[in-house]
Amino acid sequence: MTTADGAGTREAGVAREEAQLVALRAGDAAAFGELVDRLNGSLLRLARMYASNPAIAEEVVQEAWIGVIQGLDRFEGRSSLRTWCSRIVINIARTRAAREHRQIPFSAFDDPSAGAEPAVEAERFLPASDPEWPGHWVSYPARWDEVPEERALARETRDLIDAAIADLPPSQREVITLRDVNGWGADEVCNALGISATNQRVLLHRARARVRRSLERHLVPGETSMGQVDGGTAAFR
Amino acid sequence: MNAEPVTCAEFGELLDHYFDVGPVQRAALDAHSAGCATCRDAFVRATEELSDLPCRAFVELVTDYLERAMSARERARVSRHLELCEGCRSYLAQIRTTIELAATPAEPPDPALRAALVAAFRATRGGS
Repeated sequence: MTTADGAGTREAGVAREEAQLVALRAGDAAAFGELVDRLNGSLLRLARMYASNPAIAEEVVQEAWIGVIQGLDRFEGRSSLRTWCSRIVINIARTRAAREHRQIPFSAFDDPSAGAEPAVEAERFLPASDPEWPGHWVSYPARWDEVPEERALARETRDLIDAAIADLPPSQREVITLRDVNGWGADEVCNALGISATNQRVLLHRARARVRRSLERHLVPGETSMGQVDGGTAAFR
Repeated sequence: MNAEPVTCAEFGELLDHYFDVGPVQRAALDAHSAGCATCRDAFVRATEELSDLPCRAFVELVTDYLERAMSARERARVSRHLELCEGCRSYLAQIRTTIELAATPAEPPDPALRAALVAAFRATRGGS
């Protein structure tokens, strides 16, 4: 078995996974309960990206768990348990979505350069012809650390982020959900979605840039219109 | 807190990393270039090249920077730009906040579902 080059923490993680897999194969129901505790939430989030409603997402995840129970002997341990379980969820969810003739994320076949747009609106920068500062900020982005914490952590902000992610093109949505919402590593996301490291980075870049723009409009209203450099932060003092 | 003095060869090697190294190592590099005109010239040339990065290009490099998916030279260029540009430091901080705010702890499984799944596991694989 080849493991990625890695630090001790990763090796400890691999050892833990192996122990868990041995317990699962031996029919240890407590180990299975722990696996459900650890993964159900993120699998559900994954399924929701493909499902037309939350009830279907729950069904998909349940079906996937049954697949996990039945497939444990076929699982070779080449990927993490989490990656393997996620692939089962993705397969079931995609099959169901296709049956319902709905558009489904398929990052593996997406051209990452399609629909390319700059991370930040072009008009936020001085033109290339500017004699002194070509391509530099017209006015600096605001410092969000001056936004009151209650505002940043408010339910409203959470909802806004969820809505911004839901609005993304499907392949960007898949990548940012796994990476930033679920907190997975880059390798794991490439593995689960079957995409290259470069493709993963490009999709993540676009997705984060768009979510940042939504947050900016929400946290610093009026920021996208041009203001002067030092006036930008005064609004929410 | 004094670092070992560096030689010209070491200075040349560390030049690209000047904006990535810690304060102690940086002080050692500064001490060397203060006393060595050749290395000081090399440093000035390198930083001029490094600081030639418009903000508009920086914002497209942010993800590669955070993912550490760039060459040492490119990384040094980005680090140098960040030292010089308050606007891009804010932008990077905004991206970091975006990542932090996106993270959500996963909900624990519904207890009834958990119990049903564990029962299914027992029925299929238990009793060994």
